[in-house]
Amino acid sequence: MELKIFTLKTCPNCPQAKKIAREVAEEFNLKFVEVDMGTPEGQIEGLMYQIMSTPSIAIDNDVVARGKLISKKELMGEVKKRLEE
Amino acid sequence: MQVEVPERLPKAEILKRKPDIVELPLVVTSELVVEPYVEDKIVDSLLKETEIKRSDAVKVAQEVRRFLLENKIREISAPMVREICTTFLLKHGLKEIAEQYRRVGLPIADVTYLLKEHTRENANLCHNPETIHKLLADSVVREYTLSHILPEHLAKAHLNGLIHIHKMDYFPIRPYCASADARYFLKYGVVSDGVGAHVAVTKPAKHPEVAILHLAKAYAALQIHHSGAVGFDFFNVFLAPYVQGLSYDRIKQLMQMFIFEMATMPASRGGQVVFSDANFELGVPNILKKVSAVLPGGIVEEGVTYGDFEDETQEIFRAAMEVYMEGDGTGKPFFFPKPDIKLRKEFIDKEEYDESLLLAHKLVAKYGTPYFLNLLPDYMPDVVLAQCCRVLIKMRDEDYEDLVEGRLRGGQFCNNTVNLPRIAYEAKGETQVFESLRERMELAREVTMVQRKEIAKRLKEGTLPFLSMELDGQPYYRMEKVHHSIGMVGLNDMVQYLTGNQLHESKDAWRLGLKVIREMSRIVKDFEKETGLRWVLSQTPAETTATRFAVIDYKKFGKKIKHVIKGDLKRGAIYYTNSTHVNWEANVPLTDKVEIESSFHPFLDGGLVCSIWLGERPDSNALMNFTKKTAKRTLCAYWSYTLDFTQCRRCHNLMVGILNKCTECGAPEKDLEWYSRIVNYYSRVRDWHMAKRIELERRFRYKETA
Repeated sequence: MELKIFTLKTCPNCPQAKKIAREVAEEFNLKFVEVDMGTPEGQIEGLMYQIMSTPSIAIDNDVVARGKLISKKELMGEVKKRLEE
Repeated sequence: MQVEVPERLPKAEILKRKPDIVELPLVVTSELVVEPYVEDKIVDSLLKETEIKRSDAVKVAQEVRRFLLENKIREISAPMVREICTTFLLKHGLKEIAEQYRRVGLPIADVTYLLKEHTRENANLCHNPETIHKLLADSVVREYTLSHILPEHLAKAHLNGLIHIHKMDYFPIRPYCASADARYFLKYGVVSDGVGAHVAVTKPAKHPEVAILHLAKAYAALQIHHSGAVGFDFFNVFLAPYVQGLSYDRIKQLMQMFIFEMATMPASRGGQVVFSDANFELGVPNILKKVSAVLPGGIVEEGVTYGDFEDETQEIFRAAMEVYMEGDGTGKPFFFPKPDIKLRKEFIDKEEYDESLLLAHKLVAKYGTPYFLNLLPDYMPDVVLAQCCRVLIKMRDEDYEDLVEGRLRGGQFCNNTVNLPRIAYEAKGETQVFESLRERMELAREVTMVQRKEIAKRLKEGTLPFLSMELDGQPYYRMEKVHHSIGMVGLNDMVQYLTGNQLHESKDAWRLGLKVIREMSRIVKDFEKETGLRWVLSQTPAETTATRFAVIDYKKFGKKIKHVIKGDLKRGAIYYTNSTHVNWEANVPLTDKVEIESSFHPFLDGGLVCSIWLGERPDSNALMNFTKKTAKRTLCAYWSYTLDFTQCRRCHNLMVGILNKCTECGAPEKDLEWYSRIVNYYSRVRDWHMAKRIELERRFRYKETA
């Protein structure tokens, strides 16, 4: 399972979202990927996930946060739900 | 051919008076009078109409004279004399002079053919006297544009299929699509000829029926000044003050009147109905709540705003949907005016609006009629008008005052299309693809600038009177505010040629597609900076362009490109994939199709659509959930659900699907009519050209949206 976070250098909530995502990825031993939406490749990767705002988080192909800060508890819930499936 | 000689200039009389020219023919002029042949007339006209030297003009005129004498031609028409002249000009290497001097028009055989048949370039055309006149005129304007208005390299770029210049039939006389603000006509009434000299001038409507009829006339007047569609934004909101205090039944009757008026009025060229859009709101959107309302009589009262007409706005919406759902007198769906329904943050998932949204989905389940315009994604502004096949007019921030003042008008000035697969065939490597992209878009830009000059001249000369009127103190048509569009055909086939996979077959192909469209969007933004005009990138409807490009390219490249050409090569009915769409024939899961197509939408600021072909009637609740999910979770800006229909002409039974026998009375195929969306509007399948019919057969249709 992969946890992908979409960030922008200028986005105020991104550092916090990144910290949460990294902690959750480590806790569940998930692959952690950061996509910088400020780069041309990152912008395109975002569009392929229907994402244009940050911070956003996807677990595999599912976007669980779109342009908003998700709490650690909520993100863990999303991961657990998928692990149990 | 014997030429008939009009009475007022008898042949014998001329011969008697002019014995010295008896050897030369009589000429029937374009005014249909017979005159003796006078060599000086050729010299004079050559000098007047072209840049020829006098000595060359005299030489050519002498040769024409000699030719007529040697061949003992006794009677000839002036156009034929001109054709002979053109031949001698070419013989002397005076090609440019010949181009300036030649005639534009149709061969006799083509006119005979048009009287019997008609083309299938546009599936909206009916066969009637208006259509015949339209097609005759179209061919003259098209030839005039190609030979006289456009510089040679641009005409060649079109003819060789590098780009496609749309609506060339109207190039020097009409801009493309009109977006209109109902408040203009509610405030000032309608002066349908633009000057009030040839028609009765109305005062602002005081009653709802009159308001509706005024708007219908405004649609028609705008249509005859534009080559594309006419769309009105916030239709039910702006009409809401006129139905205050009326019963729901009365409102429904009014909507029935409006929809039938637009669906039956033969107001467009070729006797077509207006290609019309009415944009509907589920309620009064926040952005309009504090805007002063135009009230019956065209009055604005301090403190009365559109926010005061929430109930009426909702009632008009419901009434319109119910009328659409009842169908026409034979139970067939209405094709126009196209209802575009806006999805907004303030309405989605709100119980108050869900009932109306469900009604719209019941309409989809019955007739497929509505279109959904999604304003939820962050990149979509609050004020967007959907019209035509897929044009979106997004209001720019600097136009906010227009929204407040009732001047939300403009439209798309033009759309010219780049042939994407062609770039792939000719390029050596990815860098060259991007270089060619700019080159081809530069061609489209040049075409646009030529057309702007032409339309600016017409506006100044007064030949677009409705667009020159100044009822609100400003010219109706504001050249600085209209959008100039560049479109594309065959992104899917381009990436297939370059990567070996179609958009839906690999992420690399999809990624490359996004890079191409992003580059096009950047180039368009550069054009904006360089020209100071408004430029947008749009999907091209490509009703005929997708086929024209494929045919030209297949002739040129043959086997090398066979694997990316779509359609039926054996029957010669071939085409490219429309704009940035996923191959319509491909069995791709619906969510994947929507996601791939939507990923391009943020770059396509001038227009787009995602066409969802349905194989059976959907469950309206499940479909509404799919709509909401799409609105909230994707970047999809605009879409429609299409059901195909067969109607029996004998018993009027309407069946879902393309069938060859009536399920009610057993009538055979010849008594059936088929209907579907050709690109993004419903029309009669028998009017479609062959390639589109083949594509219809091959469309992949979805059976489940849940």
